[in-house]
Amino acid sequence: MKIALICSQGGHLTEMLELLGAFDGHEVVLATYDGPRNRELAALGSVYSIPYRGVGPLAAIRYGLWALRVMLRERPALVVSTGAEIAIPFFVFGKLMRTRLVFVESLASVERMTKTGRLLYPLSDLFLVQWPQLLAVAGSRARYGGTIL
Amino acid sequence: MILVTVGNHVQAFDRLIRAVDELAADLDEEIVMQIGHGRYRPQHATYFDFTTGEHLQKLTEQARVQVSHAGSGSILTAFRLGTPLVVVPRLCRYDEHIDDHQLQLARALEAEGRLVALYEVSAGSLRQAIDRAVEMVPAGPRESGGARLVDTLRAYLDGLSAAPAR
Repeated sequence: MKIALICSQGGHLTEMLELLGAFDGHEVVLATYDGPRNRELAALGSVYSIPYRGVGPLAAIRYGLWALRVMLRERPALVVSTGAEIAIPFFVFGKLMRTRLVFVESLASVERMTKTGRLLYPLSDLFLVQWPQLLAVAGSRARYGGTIL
Repeated sequence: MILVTVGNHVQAFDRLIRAVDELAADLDEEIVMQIGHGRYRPQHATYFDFTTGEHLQKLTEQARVQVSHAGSGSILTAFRLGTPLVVVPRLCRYDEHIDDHQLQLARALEAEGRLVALYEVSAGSLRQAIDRAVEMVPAGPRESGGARLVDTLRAYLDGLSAAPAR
């Protein structure tokens, strides 16, 4: 199965790297912002990256067009994201393309969901939280599946 | 050796660097600081802005205790290598991060007794926190907790592969 892994830099990327064992045996492509760790990611599969230019409307349009290009070129069977907002266009286009969508809420989301998580919960086929206490606020389809710590 | 790390985040975390520098003035122990995008230059410690993951791991292994921002990468590394950990969460109100997610994480891990968390930081409170952290954590590496999360995901993927195509 081809799996697209979508994440921002920093902690979101750190968490995604901790989950790589789940994707053994599958083809993986990565989409993230530009960053110093991206070179080491090339060993995992194709890496798509875009400069981070904030979250204003013009930037959102650029990210959206980029995400559409990636999705149309790769046509993954599954999209997995650890956040953050970079995942939004991938989930929207993924939904239209009947791609399975998995969102893993942040390790730091103990009592409150991330904005991205709240936004993408309705689109997610699997929504994982890393703290059991978050289940109370995340919605009935959310699942606690362990933490990376 | 005390290792201080603030991660790669674009905002500075001078509040922590200054406090450790003040403590360093009165300590005999070697202090190494990764200051990231900080503007304040330590007077009593070795420092650099960024380094490779390997170098940071080596320093974490050597450190008697790590004092860091409450970023997942810094926490993971210290936990994995069994290095006693004091975290000072970056706070939105001081322009140290875009929100207070580090505060959530610090509180949760502190409640589990896995690290010492400091919220307002001074040379004095740092010294106490470091002493507590060293007593709290047994030396030696820990297992990664990620195995269960990886298994959850893998099980989901296997379920997808097994399902008939739409």
